[in-house]
Amino acid sequence: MSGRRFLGLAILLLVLLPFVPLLLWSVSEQWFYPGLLPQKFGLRSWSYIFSTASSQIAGGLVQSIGLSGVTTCLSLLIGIPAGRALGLYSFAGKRLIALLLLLPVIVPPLCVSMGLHLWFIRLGLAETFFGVVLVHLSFCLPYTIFVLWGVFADYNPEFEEQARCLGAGRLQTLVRVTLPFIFPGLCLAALFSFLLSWSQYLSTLIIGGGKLLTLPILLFSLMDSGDRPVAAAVSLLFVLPALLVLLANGRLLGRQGLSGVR
Amino acid sequence: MFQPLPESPAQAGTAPGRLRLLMLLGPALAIILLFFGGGIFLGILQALGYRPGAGGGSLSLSHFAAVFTDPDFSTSLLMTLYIATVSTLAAALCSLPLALLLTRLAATSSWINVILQIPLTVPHLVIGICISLLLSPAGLVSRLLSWSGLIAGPAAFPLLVNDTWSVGILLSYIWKEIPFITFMLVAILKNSGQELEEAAQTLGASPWQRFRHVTLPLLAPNLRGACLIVFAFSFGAFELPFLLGKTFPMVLPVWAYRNYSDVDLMARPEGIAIGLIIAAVVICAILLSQGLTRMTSRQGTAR
Amino acid sequence: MGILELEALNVGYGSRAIVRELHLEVAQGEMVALLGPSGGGKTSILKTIAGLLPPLSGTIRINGQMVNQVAAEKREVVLIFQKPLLFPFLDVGENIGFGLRMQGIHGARAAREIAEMAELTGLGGLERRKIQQLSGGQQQRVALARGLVLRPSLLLLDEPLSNLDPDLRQQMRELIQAVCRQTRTTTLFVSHDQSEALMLSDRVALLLGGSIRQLGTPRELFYRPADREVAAFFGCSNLLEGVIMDRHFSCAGLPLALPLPSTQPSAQVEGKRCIVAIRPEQIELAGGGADTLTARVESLSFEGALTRLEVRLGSCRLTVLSPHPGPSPGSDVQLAIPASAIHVLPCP
Repeated sequence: MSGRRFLGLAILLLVLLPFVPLLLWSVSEQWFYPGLLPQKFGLRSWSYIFSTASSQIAGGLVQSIGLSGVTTCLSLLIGIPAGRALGLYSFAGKRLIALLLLLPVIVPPLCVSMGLHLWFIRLGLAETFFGVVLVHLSFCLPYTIFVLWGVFADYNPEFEEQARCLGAGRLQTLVRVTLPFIFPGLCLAALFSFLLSWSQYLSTLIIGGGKLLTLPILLFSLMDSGDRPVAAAVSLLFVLPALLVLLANGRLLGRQGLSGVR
Repeated sequence: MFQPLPESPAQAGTAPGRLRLLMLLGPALAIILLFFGGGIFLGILQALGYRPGAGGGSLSLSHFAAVFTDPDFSTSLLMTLYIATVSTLAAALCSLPLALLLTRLAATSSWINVILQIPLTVPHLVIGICISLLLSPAGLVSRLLSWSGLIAGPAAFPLLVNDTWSVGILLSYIWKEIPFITFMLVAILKNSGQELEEAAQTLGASPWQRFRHVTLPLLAPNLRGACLIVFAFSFGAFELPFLLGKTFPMVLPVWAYRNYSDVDLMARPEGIAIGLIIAAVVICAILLSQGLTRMTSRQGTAR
Repeated sequence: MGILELEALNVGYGSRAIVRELHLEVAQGEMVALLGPSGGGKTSILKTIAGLLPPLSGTIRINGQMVNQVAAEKREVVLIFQKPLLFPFLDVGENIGFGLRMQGIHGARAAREIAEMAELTGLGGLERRKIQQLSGGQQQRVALARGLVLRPSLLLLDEPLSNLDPDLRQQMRELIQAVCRQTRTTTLFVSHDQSEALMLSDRVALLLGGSIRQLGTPRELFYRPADREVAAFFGCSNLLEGVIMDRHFSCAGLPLALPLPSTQPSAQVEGKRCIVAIRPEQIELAGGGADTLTARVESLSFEGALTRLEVRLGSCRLTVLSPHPGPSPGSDVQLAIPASAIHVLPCP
């Protein structure tokens, strides 16, 4: 076996191994120790998700997608100009500004959420969708800026000047020149932001106050209830969108891929 | 750690007007200052005893003092440090050879890269559930051993989840962080690793010397940056220890949230104080690492 | 009235002027070169004319209209950068048609104009190619076609040949000349390479130290430099200081007075201290005779078609470029300096 194939198989095995019990539990109806496989296979957990508790699970899915989607859009909208300023220009105080903008990458969201909570209650932002978006934005935006800084450091703004000379207005230049150039980096930044917001538990719980039932919050309560097959099925549902995006974007993102996503 | 890329040569040195800079950076700065800076600032105020709803109150360090004098604080801190440090070091030690192997064998293989990216997309919560289904006393591994006759039953299986040494937590973090660190290293190796090694080889460097004096220094900044991010994350993360950890000693983030969500509202400032201590430790770790780097690099130039 | 008129134009960034008090007029169909050493602000002049950089002061007129306040995309000016800057996500045809598309020109009309311009620039049949599949010369031609297809009033070229290999430069030069002539496009280009400027342009403006030092035909600048810096820029290193008496130039180091060319009006220079410039390739190595000067060869270097000799003549040192492979260092040679080789620099 070639070294490359061996390496590939080893990686494949180690990456996929943890999912084996998840898959098995999600299709089991009876699985007593020490059975290596479930004594009884069945789709009870899936039918529970898609019929009995479908409104709750679907609600969580919608809530999660909406939250991560809005957070991602906002962080791109705000992050693109900031990334451009950091990537293209040198100016006084740049190091300080960069430090400030990227500090939330290392400070855990836990502290920020706890600090903001009382203030958000008084502003009426606690337990609202928008309030949670704002908290998520405080740590998704820095990652977006970090990626786009790198994107714009490799970007040649002379292309925009060339387009202007060829008769393109500001909007046309943005749509026809700038966006196509930064598109792969933009996708990567969007993915960063989406995944970060998607897997967020504690900050959603604190600011959302249990009113905003995203998938991770539902999953935690399912784990507490001890229904393993259903928890396993919801876990799979929780991983699926990100996994699909990864596979779909494999070509879009090129070799850079997701490197750097946490 | 925040400047991985050089400025584009075409533009380095050009300075746009202040107004334009403000337009570009203003919204981002506003969001970060308001919601991140504001969160930290209000957190500090509340941890110092300020109560917005209850007529203010005087500021004091009593909540911090209460945390520091708590007999469980030091065990908790050590536990958190242990988990963050060991998982970071182990992930880095696995990532280094993996990155070297990947660039040498499979830099162009897209399927291996896609597989390795899967852990990046998996939320910590889910890998926690996976590890628990895999390694708990009644988990799949235990079943395998029992089925093959190596152990008698769940009781004979070593405790790997909710255990003293936090094996389950460590394994989850390592599984999740190896790809992150590896890709940070591969990014560097793909650009210049091969050529520089070849140059060193023609200058008579042995394989070990090439690794020690060429590859490792080349990777050092990214390795350090990636490790710091991983350390900071695992030091302040809640999900995995909550799911897979022992009830005592609690790691700091779990302790902070327990206090914060306590029915007794008086425990809340203490929870926030613990949160701030977590942030302080993380920032200290980064300053320390930067200080050490500066010292070693100064020594290097002096020599 | 010219296509382009620059009046007292100051060009620079922020408050710092790189080029001061620029006056220039370019006529319809003319090809003018802005020649000067690298880093002299030539590209900034083009960007200012194109509208990408606001002028610090002065006026820019295009077709008689003051355009200082007109946005880059609304000026009928196309700037072609030094690098081809082709959009990698568009193919050759789409790149050429980019400007048409911006004007809302689609379909058959756009396709016809793109095909026409591709044909003209030697890119016929390559319209569906990807940019990455083109050679450097082809990319440069796409950039040219992309600009010309818009039929701009004024075409600005930034160092059009400098990115090309020597054999491609010749091809590209001929192409630019032919295409611009055929489309009657008025062109202003900048270059740091004197041969590029002399070959391509109808007139040359030499930019030294942030201002135009001399403006004229290539021959004027080459053979009749306005001052010693212009002379030196074009490689005329033989600058002798002396007195003009009786239509002859004499200088302390020279054993013989040199007759002035008949074209030199004598009234302004007679009896004055002057500097004369003698182009090194116009000094001839002669067999001997009455009007020749004996000089000692100090060093020589073979440069291919010509051989460069450094000779000492009395107390003067001269550079001679001769087609003869030449004598050896240390030997004596006879020099003949024809009257036509002598150019008296305007007296200060």
